[in-house]
Amino acid sequence: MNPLLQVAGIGKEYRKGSQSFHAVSGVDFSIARGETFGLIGESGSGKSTIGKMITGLEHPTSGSLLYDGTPLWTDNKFNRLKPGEMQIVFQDPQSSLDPRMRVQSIIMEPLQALPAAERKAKGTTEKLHALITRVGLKVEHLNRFPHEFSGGQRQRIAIARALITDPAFVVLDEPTSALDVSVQAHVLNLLQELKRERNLTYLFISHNMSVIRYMCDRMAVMQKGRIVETGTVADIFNNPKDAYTQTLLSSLPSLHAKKVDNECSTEQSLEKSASKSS
Amino acid sequence: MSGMTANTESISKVATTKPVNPFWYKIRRNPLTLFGLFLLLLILLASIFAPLISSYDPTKINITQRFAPPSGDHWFGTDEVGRDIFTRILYGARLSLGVGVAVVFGAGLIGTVIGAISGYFGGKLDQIIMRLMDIVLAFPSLVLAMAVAATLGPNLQNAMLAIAIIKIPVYVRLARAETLALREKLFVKAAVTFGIKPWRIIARHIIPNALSPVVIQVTLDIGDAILLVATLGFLGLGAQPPTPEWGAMISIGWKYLLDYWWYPTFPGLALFLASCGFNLIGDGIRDILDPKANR
Repeated sequence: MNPLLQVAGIGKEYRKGSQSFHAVSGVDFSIARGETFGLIGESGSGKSTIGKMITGLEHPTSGSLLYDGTPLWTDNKFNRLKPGEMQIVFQDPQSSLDPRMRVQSIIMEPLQALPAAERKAKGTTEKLHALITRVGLKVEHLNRFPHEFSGGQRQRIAIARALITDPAFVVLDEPTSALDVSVQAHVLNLLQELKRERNLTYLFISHNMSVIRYMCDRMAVMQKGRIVETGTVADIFNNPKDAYTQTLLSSLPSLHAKKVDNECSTEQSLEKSASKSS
Repeated sequence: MSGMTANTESISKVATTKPVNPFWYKIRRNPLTLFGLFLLLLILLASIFAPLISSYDPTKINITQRFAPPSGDHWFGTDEVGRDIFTRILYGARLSLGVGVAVVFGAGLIGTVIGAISGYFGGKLDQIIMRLMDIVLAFPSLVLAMAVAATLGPNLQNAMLAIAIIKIPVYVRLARAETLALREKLFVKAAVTFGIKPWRIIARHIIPNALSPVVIQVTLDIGDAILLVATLGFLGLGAQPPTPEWGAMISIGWKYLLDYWWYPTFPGLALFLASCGFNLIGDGIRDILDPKANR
């Protein structure tokens, strides 16, 4: 099957005078339709830069990005294949929502990039109300400003904004890192449910191993701009090959680690046997 | 449609339960700002209701009444052709306030748009715009305003244009600095990823969020602009007689200062109070909107 997103040898080099810094170098991975792909690494490992290159904020200095078989970048120019097809949810809902816009305008904003007919079809009041309720907010919240909401609610607004255009692919750039632990779980569950309902494909960027394990099917571990290990979540968690992955795993809180790992592996092995039979 | 109206109703109900705006609370606690507000309201009301307050015609000549000292009939006395100075000051307030506000709003609007465009796109365009602004800023503002007004011909419109030209660079710089910071904000980046057109990002995100320093600058500049209009009038480059303009009145009146002290004094006082009022308000608004710039 053709992958939805194919990342082939992309690199990002920042130059300043004679100095140069490789934020990302030679990264390869591909994401199949309907999959959640996790990208994990510490701060500065280049994982967010990859998200930015996919969504058109930064151009890669080498390699290629194919979305559904079409290159996303040609000569440092971003090809917006189909507006609204790909969306992003940022880490910090504090600054990703314009403080001077009402929630309704914030959520509807991505529609402005669509052709008029599509904008009308997707921006009906019923759809907007259904979406805001679906992400766990109320219709009367639409007329308020972002500062009137908590961090978790703001992230829900950001998720609604990403989904208004009915995207196929969503980049989640540390969507829960800025949230309280209890709120994180709710937002993660919401993302899981939305993925099932809407047949979404996620690229999930995070520095949190447990979040990745909970959310993702396959994952890649990044260190200093390179991918050190790629594989299914179960493989990497049960049998980490790279030394850096092992360090990351050993840093996880271990209170119930063993038990959870067992559960996880049984789940994954069930899935494996299911995929073998199909 | 009916569903929608029902919704806005329920939403407006929610909005009314919001806490009181702290803005007025802060203004009330600042006596100087309050005084500035009082001065401005006084001048504004006086200029609006000028025909009701005074029964004199500001331009009607009455030679028999020339140089009448302040009295019950002529509160601020009369000038060299017998016009009532109080009436002329009232009508002059219309002109000064109107011109000051119009010029600064115009300059603020144009400057903000240019600054936002310059900052957002950056690169060569930014370089060219900023160097042009540097050229304008390199001249002493009054000298440049005089040069522009004198070149275009001495009248009120040209004086306004001249003042707008010397005020624009301030707003360009302000808006550009704000834009450079805003361009890095996630909500602007988010809009870029949605595929929103740059002009729309500038109009919807950049300019609304860059506005508060501009508003402060506008209130501070109106007083300055009123002074500049009067200065150009005083130098004979602004409004021409018999227009009741404060600067032009002082310009003719100062020759009579020793014999008829009221002629230049009262327009001067009006000018002082008006620019004072705007400056006090500007300071007050700055203190409220920008807590970091306290004193």
